[in-house]
Amino acid sequence: MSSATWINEQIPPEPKVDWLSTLHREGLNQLTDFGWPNRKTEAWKYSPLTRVLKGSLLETPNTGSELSSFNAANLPAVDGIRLVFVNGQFESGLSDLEQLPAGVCWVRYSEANQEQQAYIQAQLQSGVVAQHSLTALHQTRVVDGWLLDVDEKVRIEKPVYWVHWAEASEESYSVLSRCVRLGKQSEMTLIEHQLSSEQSAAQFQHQSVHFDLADSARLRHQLLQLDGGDQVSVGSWNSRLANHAYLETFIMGLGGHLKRVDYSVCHQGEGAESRLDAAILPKDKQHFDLHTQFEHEVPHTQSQQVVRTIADDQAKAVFNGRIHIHPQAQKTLAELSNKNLLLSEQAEVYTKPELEIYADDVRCAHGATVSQLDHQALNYLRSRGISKAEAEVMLSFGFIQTLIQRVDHDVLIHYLVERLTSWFGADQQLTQHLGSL
Amino acid sequence: MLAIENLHAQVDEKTILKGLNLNVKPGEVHAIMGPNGAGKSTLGNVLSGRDGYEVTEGKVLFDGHNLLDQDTEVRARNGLFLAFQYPVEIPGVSNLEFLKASVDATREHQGLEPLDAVQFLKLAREKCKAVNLDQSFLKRGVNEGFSGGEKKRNEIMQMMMLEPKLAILDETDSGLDIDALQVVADGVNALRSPDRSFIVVTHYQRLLDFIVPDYVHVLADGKIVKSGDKSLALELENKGYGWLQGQAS
Repeated sequence: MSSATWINEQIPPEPKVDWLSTLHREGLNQLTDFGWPNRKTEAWKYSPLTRVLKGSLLETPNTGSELSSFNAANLPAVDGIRLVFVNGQFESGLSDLEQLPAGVCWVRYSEANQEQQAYIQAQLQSGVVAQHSLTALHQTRVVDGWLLDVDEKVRIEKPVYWVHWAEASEESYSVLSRCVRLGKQSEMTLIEHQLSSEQSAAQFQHQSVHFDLADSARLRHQLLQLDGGDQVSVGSWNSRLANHAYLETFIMGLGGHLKRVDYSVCHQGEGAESRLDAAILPKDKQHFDLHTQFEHEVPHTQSQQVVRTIADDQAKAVFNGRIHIHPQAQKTLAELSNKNLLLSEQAEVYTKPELEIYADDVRCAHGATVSQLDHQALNYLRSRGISKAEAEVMLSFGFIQTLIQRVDHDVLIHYLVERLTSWFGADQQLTQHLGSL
Repeated sequence: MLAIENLHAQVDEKTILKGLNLNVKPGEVHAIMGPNGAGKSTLGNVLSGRDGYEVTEGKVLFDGHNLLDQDTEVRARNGLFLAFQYPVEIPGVSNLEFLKASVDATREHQGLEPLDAVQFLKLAREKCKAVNLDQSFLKRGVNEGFSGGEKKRNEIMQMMMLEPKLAILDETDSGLDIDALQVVADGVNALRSPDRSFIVVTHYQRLLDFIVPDYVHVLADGKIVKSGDKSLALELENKGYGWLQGQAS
């Protein structure tokens, strides 16, 4: 089937939302241009979408939370402002809207004021940095979404805690779009926590997020994709950093049938700075694909990316990390390091760090390694009485422990260590010393 | 304590130990000296059970049991300790985590209750102090970014935590300044007791001024070619190893 035919047959008619009609039309044009990804499509080369095509995933839009075993008591006790989405739909009843401080607005796209709607439209239309078929498809599907609008100089003390709960009785497709606009010198921490019911049927969660940081705004973003089982999740996170804005990101990826994260940061103002730490741990037959794209568009900006992957069993991990230094972006400092640990002979890692530099006075470094556990280190631990199995767990955990410590939130670290502990094995004997003391 | 009989061992199909005999009784300190490439480090690695070192002939009894049958970790839990010549850096695994896992495993094997976190920390801080390592080292990754001397002191610190029956020090003195040497020697001397033995592998007589051995052996070409008391070390210091080459064959 040609992609044009496929698109005509498979993609339901475009939704009717007047103020977004340009967005939808452009999305459909793009999608027709890109075609549906196949093995020759660079952006999707190692992440086949056959599952999405074959199933009824795309055909069944999720209409909301028809059932829910969601229980806030099972969440980490983050003292934050909780905003809960069930199957991509915002649930105000489960959320702490009253805790949003003055100067912060959380509004549905459809209920936003005119200025905000114009802003949203601009973000959605031109804010996607790494474009491909799936971002185009997303663009055609957005009918609504949420804007977090933070005024100048507002510092949100507590973290804003987005919880994404997936639970549905049948396979379905949900689309979610959000924008975060941070005014000058504003500051916040955003925790995005994706999780699912173990009983849930497969869902395709298709999302996009736009972060817009004005001068000297600061955002700490923690993206925890911990939904397991049969979930398919494809999302694109796009950040724009104005002068002296600062973005610090931590990503942890566990589980899922297919997960794809496009994380892009555009340094558009002098002095803008970003840092990304990511720990990706697929196992069984899971598949995790992280694409980063860091654009340095003006002089004197900085970025640092540290991505570590541990792949076990027959899992696949894909990393594509791109740094792009524009001609006028002199004095850029940009670093990217990707290290991969393979715990089984059948696990696979595809990594491609990319540097594209058009300025001549910059400092950039990039590198990637793929390895197995270090025999010397293993021997060292065993020579002190630690069993081989426990030593393997300790070394694997050690491979990502320093990244987790960067989360800088004790409750969350504790929760993540717990999740990792069960990732490394149900045997408490082997995990009892992880992150202890 | 340790009885090595006609030990032959190879690494990558190259025979390094060629019929080594050694008997260590409880409470004794044996020094092993010898030229480069004689097999000194191989001996320590073979005894500790490192992968890649294959014993082709001979036997080793430790405390009356066949040592060579045991996995590396079991040897350690039974009280054999090797202070490495080149301790490995393990970023991401903290010294504390590592030591707790190690002490817990050893105590469990010996049928002892695990130490609780408070007892354990107290002990670890005490031992750090004894080898002149700042307590901040406990929170750092195992040997991560440690200087050569700090790594060696960390080995001695681990030895003091584990209180082994037999400790093999593989060139623990190399790369140490005189103060660090004293610290290492103090650590060893503090542990000397009638039921604990040491094998001290070294190139230099200097260490043996601080840790006075009961016996000194010369290892050359995979065998012990001469044994004597501490005066042999002085003789080697003066004459080198050349005069012993004839006796090796």
